[in-house]
Amino acid sequence: MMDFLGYLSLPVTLLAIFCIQAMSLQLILGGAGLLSLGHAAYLAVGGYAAGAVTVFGLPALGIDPTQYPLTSLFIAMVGGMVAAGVTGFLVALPCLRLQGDYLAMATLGFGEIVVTVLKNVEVLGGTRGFKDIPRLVNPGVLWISVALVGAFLYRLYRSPLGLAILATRDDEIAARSLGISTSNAKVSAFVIGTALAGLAGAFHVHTLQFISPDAADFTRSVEVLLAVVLGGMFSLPGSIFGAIILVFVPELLRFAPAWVAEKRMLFFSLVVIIIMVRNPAGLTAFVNSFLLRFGRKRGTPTPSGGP
Amino acid sequence: MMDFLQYLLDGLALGSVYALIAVGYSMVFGVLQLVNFAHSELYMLGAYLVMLLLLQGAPLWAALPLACGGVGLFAVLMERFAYRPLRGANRLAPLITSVGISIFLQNFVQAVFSPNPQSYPVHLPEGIIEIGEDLLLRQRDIIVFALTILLTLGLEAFVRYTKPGKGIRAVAIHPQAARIVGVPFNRTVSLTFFIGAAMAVVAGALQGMAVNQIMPFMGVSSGLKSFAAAVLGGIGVLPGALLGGLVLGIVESLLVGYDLSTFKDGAAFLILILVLLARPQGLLGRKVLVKV
Amino acid sequence: MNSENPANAAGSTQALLSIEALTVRFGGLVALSNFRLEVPAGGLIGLIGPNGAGKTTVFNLVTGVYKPTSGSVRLLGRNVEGKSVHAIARLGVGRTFQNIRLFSGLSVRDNLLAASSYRMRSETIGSLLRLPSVRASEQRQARKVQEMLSFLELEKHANDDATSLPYGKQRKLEIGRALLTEPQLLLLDEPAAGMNPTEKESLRRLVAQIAARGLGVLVIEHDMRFVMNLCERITVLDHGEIICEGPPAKVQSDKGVIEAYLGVDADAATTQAAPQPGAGS
Repeated sequence: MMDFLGYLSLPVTLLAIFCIQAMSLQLILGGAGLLSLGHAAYLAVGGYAAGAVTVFGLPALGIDPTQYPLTSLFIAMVGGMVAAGVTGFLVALPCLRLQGDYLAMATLGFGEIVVTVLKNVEVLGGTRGFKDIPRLVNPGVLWISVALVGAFLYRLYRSPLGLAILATRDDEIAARSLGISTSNAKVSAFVIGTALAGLAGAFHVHTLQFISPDAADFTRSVEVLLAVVLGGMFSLPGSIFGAIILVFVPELLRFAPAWVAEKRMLFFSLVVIIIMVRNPAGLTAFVNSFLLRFGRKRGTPTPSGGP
Repeated sequence: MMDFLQYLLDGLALGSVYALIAVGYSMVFGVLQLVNFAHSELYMLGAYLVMLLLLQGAPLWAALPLACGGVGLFAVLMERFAYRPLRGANRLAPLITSVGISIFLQNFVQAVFSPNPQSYPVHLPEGIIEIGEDLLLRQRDIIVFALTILLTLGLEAFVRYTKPGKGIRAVAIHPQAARIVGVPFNRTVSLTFFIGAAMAVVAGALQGMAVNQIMPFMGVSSGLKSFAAAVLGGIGVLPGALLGGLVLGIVESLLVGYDLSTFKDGAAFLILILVLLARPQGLLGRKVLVKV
Repeated sequence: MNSENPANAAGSTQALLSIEALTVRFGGLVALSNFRLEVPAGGLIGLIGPNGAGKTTVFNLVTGVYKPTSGSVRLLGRNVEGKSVHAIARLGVGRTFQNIRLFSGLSVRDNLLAASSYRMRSETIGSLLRLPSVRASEQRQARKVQEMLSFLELEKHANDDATSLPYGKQRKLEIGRALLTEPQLLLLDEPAAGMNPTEKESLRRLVAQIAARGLGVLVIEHDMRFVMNLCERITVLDHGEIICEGPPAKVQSDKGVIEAYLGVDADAATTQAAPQPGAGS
């Protein structure tokens, strides 16, 4: 039993990080209606920055991170969030004027540029990756953070800015006619989302003690996109469902014949297609019936304007 | 100087492949305002299907049209069952669906064949023609380029002079007006998907025959680059796809030639972003006024 | 500035909206030519004309969606040409749209609440931290929304999806949402479209009440009887030009107006709310 729990601890830890990342994309995709296809890049930027803080920054100030783990972690978290948020801001400024499809491609392009840049920064490991980052994270810190991020986003959707973001998503023209600055709303959502992804990145590097440029890869971006869509992209708790599915189904499949495990992306993508064509509310629609609170309430809205 | 010209020539064939793929992105966007993310997988499917037919013993002149028809039909069905139900207010849904289809196709082919590169049973001629003392032209490059020009001209003629072709142009310019004058919207969209897919199939086969290997993920980078080409030339504009593709191919070739190949992938993304920000209608496109 | 305006019929009070010599060209097409209009506080002005005459174009120019080629648009004496849509909205302009634009993913209540989100934006952080001062402010907003819900008779639907409402109620909701921005000028684009006579009468009373509260109202409508019964003055547009302006009686008997409607748009008249038998005579 203890073996089993021990075995679970890594996936559970990864799940926590993935939950934060998924929620951050949910804000951008489901909350603001922006298809950002390069989202993994912000986790990577945040991770690299956070790692740089504890590996280079703090020692340069004479501080040994392992002596002050929580404080160092906190500083690294801030560093990661700022780096990712600033990157998000720089991407958002030019891109958010573009309409949906172009925005998707442009964000994808930026994601790939981040990969290229990271591969060329030798001091952070280049193509080999950034290693030997101190392990500062424990499950308690992680899961409290997940809860805090969830609570923050939950409150954000109910705040004036949150309403402005949702209104901008549903109808930009109408939102502007109410005096809402839709570009501010979109940039805000994007920057908050990318900063939270950077937070996930900070946890990532201080748990796994390693990060490589592939973390910014399109494949990683697709994974978090799948998680958000599977769970129901217009629902904040949905992104947690999606994260659980995307982390645990592959784990469960380890017990299945090998050929099944390899097909998991096939399965996920097929489910995504079916969800998008039949009901973009995703799995949340199923959970809707007995968890009514999460379905139709403000903040987790399901656009009923269908095809 | 000679080096420069050489790289230029080398880039034309590479650019031709991009151009053929770009046509599909461009045409579909023109009629539906949708970026079909899965289009690059049609290119990949084409390469595999032609290979399969060739391995079964079919001659090239039969395999190619058959594959075009097969993948074209698939594209039509894809539009009919995955995109058409989503036509409406929510712009995100078809996009995400196309991402899903793209991932699905990549993994499907990977599962059916193998993640490893497959070699192609038929190659383009290996011959080299010398021009003057310093320039070399590979025969296969000439074939690829010539075929691309031919197809593009043919397509342009189709779009200008035939009724279905004019229908495509009409829908791209003004869907409502096209409907009013009697252009069958759904059929025109299906035709557009078919043609785009067919061109992508040819691109896939040419690529396979030229570099002698194909992989399930060959569409991923080529796709984004071809999209960049379509945007550069002017999305929705056929000659734009050709121009954009050739320019991109030449740029890439120049980068490789001058020993900057680490940047060759990033170059396409950079061009894409610059065009989207500075001149979204591309080199040959028209500025579109949106009515509120 | 204002006292030099010879067209200021309201005397010394400044017009809420003052349009002069407004022209807009799209490429080679002149959509609106030398347009002028005034809406005083408490005024009920109608803007009518055949399809494509340029009526919504006027709205789009006033609200900043389009930039004029020449001419001026003044809101409370301030020139607003070239300002962004949301900036003009913040100056006190509320608007509804020809094709209803509700927030499809939000409930009826939240659609109304969205109207205050701009004004409350500085309180976002306070809202996140649940500060007492902000909670008081939120409760005030909630009360205003509740009042509007009962004013519009939509209380029962408060938590429903906005787009699940019947068409007539959606229109009312859109008007209510615009009103909650506390505008001084309200632009209604075909508010009566698709309504039955009872709903139209209720709408007419609603709009009259709005004007009675001191707002200036500019209404685009195709329903002649509705416009004639509601508005004090009417401007008639055809092909981007004003062909008549004045009180309903004058407009009803104007030959040019009758020709523009019956002569050019005999077919169009059957596809929209046709002029009622009483109007036009």
